[in-house]
Amino acid sequence: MQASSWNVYGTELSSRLFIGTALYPSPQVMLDAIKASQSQVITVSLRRQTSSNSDSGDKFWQLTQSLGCHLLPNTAGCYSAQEAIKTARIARELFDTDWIKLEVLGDSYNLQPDPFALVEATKILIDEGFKVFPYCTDDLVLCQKLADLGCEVLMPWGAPIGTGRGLINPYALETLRKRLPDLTLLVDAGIGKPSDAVQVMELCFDGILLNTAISEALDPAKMADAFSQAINAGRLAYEAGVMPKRDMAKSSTPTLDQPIWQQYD
Amino acid sequence: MMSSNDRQKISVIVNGKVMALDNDVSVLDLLQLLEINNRRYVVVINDEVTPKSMYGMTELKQSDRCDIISPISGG
Repeated sequence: MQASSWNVYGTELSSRLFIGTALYPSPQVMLDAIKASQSQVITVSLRRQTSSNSDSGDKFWQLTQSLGCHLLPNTAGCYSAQEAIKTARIARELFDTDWIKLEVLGDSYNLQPDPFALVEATKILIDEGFKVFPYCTDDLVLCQKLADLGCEVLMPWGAPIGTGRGLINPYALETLRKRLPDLTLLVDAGIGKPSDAVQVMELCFDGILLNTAISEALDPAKMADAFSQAINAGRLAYEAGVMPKRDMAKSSTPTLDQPIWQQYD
Repeated sequence: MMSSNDRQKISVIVNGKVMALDNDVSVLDLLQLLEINNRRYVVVINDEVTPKSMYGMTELKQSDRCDIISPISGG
């Protein structure tokens, strides 16, 4: 069974997995993994051409076009609002999309987003018509501010990028979901294994953005399939309604009309 | 008469490297000089995107920073 479809900035999607295109051992492995993931959104980036890579950009572009996925360009590597804004403007021209995964980093050790610069860049880019997907921390007040600025989608981290540590603060994510019930929420970064993805989806998050957990698996295509199934399972479980936890045990076998020797006063 | 060798040169920073170019060279001339045949790139001069329709009309000036940006994988 497939979980319900969803809507991202007016685009209806059936897959709840966004997948990155970086760090694969080869372009073919990347293609196989993306196809196995059934993802409809792939993240991409941009760089200067040099004499050594003058045709690699076009080859990569052809690969992305062969997949037929929506493109989500990022502003990876930016450490100021101005850098991120410039990169977003170039990305819009290069990829013909107003979607932008807005990354403004504040610390080079844990690659934590800079919340102040993120808000500054978000405000300007939304004014310029961008559909902003901010990569943010799980801070509730920051997320409320980003929503107030017009973000329909937020992408808080589960853990720092590339660490595979899973959800380091599930309480914060659960609080975000409760306090921002109408927003589209994806966990971006930190997911290590499919069970982490199930946990995210059971928290009523709308989707997950993954890269390293798939691209650095021994078999990326198989791991992409595993994540696809896990995300669908977690969402189905949420939609089906998870039973409440109890302190006291409760027999699952009916006791009414059991033979007399098992009846007690 | 001034030969092409006598033309005044300008210094332009192209993709981070200094290049000496004729002072009337356009963005289109530069792309041909660099043999960039990719179908997917964007030219950015001094942090501003240059529309493709302007490549032939946009002349590079002394100390311009010109970046040719192409797609790459990203997470």
